Amino acid sequence: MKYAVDTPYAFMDAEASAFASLIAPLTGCALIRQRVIYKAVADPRDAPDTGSAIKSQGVFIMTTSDATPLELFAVPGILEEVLSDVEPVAGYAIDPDNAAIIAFIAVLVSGGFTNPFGDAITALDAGYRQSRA
Amino acid sequence: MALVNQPAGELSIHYRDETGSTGSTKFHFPFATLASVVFTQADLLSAALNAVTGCAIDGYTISYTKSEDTPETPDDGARVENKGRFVYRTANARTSLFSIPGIIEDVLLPNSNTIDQADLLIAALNTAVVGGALNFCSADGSDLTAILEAYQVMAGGKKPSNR
Repeated sequence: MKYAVDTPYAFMDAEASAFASLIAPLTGCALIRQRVIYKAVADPRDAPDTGSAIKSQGVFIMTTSDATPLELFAVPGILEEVLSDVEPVAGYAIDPDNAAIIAFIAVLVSGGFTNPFGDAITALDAGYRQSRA
Repeated sequence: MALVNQPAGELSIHYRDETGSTGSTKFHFPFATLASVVFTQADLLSAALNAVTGCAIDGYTISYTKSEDTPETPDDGARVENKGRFVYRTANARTSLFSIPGIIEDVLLPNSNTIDQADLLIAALNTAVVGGALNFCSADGSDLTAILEAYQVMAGGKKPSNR
């Protein structure tokens, strides 16, 4: 089902419940999940850099507010400029002192981003480049 | 039995490289965060990511997922591929549709794949969708104004996620 893009989540959540009650007697299937998705599309679309490759990814391991869980994500097409040039990790480790990396991590932390369990991201623990499909 | 939200919502940033291949990064945020706040943060994050990736960022999706904590048992023979397809006219003279998986035989006209719009359950659904309790619209934001047709169709499902 579709809504105007500025529709609040709580409104759609309530209507989804109403809709589910209407279709429950029409289906022999069981309801297992409900998902509300908002989409934003770049307009105009930028051109990727020459030589950029999705599979060349920067893997970031983040510490969180909870002692046990961490957070891990991958950024496709990681730039050579943000990799360390100090041996023995030159060319594959993410440089934590790179200005762009510092800015990126600052947005993650100040923006309230979390791991899937809701534990707030607190800092970059480690990062490296990896070829991932 | 209840729909229970996950601890975090999900923000996926979408990328495209020089060859046209696409990929994404998944971030998470507290489930209670307003979408308007996530939009703001996603814009900031996309700008920051532009400085660390050579790929173009094509956009992002923000999703809030709830799961049934005790799912009911499906009816014997129920198949998600057996769908009821409901097509609606829109205010801008186009159409919009949705499907209900596992549509029951009871709401079909005899010896037909046509959904009986006089059926009380179907009538209640259409009343709610067209100017009733529900505020659905088409992909371009136009209101749904009237049912155009409704029929049974066999269409693809997905593998169970636990296999």
